[in-house]
Amino acid sequence: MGSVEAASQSGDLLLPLPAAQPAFLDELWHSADAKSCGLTKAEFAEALLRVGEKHNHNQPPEVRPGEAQRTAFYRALHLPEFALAQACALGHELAWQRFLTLYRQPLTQAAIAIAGSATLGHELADSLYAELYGLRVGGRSPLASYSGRGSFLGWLRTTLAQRHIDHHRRTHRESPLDDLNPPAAAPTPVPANLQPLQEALIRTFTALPAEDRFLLASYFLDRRTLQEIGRLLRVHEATISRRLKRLTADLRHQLLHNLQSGGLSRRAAEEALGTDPRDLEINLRALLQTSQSTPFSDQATP
Amino acid sequence: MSTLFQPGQHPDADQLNAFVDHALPPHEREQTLAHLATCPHCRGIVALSMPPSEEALPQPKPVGTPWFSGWKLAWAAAATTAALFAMIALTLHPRKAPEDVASVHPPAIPERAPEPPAAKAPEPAKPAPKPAPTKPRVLEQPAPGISTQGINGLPVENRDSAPLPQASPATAAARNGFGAGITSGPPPPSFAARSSGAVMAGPLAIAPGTAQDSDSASIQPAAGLSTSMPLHQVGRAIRFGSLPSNLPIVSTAAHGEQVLALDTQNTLFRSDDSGQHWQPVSAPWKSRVLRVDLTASVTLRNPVAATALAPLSYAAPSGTSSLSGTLTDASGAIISGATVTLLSPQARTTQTDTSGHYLFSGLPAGSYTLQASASGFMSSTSTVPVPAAHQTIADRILTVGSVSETVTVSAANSSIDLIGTPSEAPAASTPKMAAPRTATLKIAAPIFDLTTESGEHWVSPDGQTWTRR
Repeated sequence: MGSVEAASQSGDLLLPLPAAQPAFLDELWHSADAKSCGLTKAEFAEALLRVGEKHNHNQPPEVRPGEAQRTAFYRALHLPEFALAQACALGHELAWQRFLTLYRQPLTQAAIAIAGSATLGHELADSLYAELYGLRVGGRSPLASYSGRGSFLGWLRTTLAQRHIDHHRRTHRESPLDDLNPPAAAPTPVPANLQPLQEALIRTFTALPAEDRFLLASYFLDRRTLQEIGRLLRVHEATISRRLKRLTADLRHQLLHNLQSGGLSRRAAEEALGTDPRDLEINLRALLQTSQSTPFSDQATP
Repeated sequence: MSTLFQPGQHPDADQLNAFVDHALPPHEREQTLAHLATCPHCRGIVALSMPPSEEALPQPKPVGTPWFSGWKLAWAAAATTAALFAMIALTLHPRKAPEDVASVHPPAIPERAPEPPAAKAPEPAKPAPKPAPTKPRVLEQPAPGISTQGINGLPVENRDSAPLPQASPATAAARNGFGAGITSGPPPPSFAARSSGAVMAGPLAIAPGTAQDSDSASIQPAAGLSTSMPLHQVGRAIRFGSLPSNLPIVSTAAHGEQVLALDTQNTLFRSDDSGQHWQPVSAPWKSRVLRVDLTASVTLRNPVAATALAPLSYAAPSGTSSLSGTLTDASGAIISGATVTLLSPQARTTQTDTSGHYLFSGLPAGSYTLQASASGFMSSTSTVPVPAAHQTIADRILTVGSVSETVTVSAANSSIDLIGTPSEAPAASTPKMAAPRTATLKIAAPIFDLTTESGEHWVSPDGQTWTRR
């Protein structure tokens, strides 16, 4: 942020903002009611510049956002919540008083809902509050990461969920899913007749769109209900049902196609699809949700 | 691009929150989805961070909404109605068959009743002594309180009046329009089939014969003119209890409290208490019984000319008079489509219907000149007295040929006055006939008439002792 401060000092503070910068900043300032949070205009502008730069004003990395795109980005933010979060992150007491007034109870309720019990919920909420309030000095508060694109309460719930999972993983001994079906020490070679099927499966699953893979993983692996998936994607559960049905049918069709393209006849491909999956030396779960990312716990806590 | 969301890293809370809130731009949403598809931990975070669904939140209970309000009641009412219809249909289904059969049975008075098979069946021509024809005249007349059922067990309703069990049959018949059309030849259609309701409504103005008269008690066709009058299809529907055989009733006949019922096993039962108790009737007949009727016997002591018949009249209830009759040929076949004209004092014209019947109603009293003509027949002209408030029946027999025929009837004969000297009936070929005639009409008590499959007729005054007719 030093560059931003330097720009502010040199008069280029609001350079990334639209051309009518002072007026536009005032507009955002008043919309966010940042003054009531004890946030100065410079602090507010700096937070805005940081968020805009971080997310490239919602534009792809290779696109340089124009003035209209920047204006639309800033106006689409939850400005009052953004100002409150930034003020809290900067340690303004007015902001914390407002935070406690507005979000203490919702935070506790969300924590109870996530933890599944009142005791754990209160403990989880107090822990997060302590973390947020304790790290308010020095700009290391997680609240500073709130961009204002989503609701502040949603951000709090997500953070609570992260902390809850972190706590669970720290206090519970988890076995990796792969350990439940450990591969043989000396993997037997795949029979020749199953090799085309395995390759076709890999090609088919890796070629699936991200949303289709998310649907399959949520429904078949996480055992989420249609209603839960529908709420997450904001579509009706019947739509999820239709999409799943169509997706499984397309999967079979694509598998057949891949098998035939691998040199099998139609009849042989049909017979290959009738193979018991347990005969395959392939972990469909791992194939479907191959993740090369670092463990979640490593990212959860800044 | 988010600096916190590089390949190989998990999205931060802000990224996931923006994904849940659908605030991500398409490219970031696609990246997040791709990561979520492969990362069960982030899917878990997303699932936990979802706002509680509305149905999971405590909802205020609806106050004062009864369970039967709104559409719930409509569905319940519809289901109840459907169930009721189904139950009614199932309950009535076994009874539907006999009721359907009954429904095809035409109602009795004032509607035209169907002709009984016995009346429809042409009887073989009997040798008639000449010059006067000796073919029996059939007077068919309903009587009150008498019900019969057809051969198919069809109930017949008499909506005219209640039964008069204490009155003598003749009196009861007279009270209820015991009129008769006199025809010759084979039994014509029943009177009920030939007469309209207006004709049937009035009481009979004829002088009934005495019950002590030996001729009136005669059941067998006498050498004279003995006429039987089936009294079916006018009785009130009688709902009897079940027969001792527990079988359906095929045919019934009732007079007063005497009831005869024929079941489907062709067993005849008799009851003296309106069907409360039944006794089987010993069957002297050999063949299967088709039906049981109630008939009345009318004997005309003196034969009359077949071509010159005196009109019968009886009082009409409304004060107006009517003139009706049937046109037949010498063989007794009805003549339909014939033109019947009243010449004076009031000129009116009508045509006979398919039963050969004609009717002039609303006539003022007077002596009318009645002319009947049909193609291929000699026209017949006669004078018919029509008293006030009486319904006069004047049947005519047309002779084949083209010679005109005039029949003159004394105007003084306003009601049946059949006691007197036998008429000198001229031959049918007489071009012009003046046929004043007199005869004695005696009405006996109604008797039960049983028709068998072989065409036999058995009669019984009490339903117990039967005599073949």
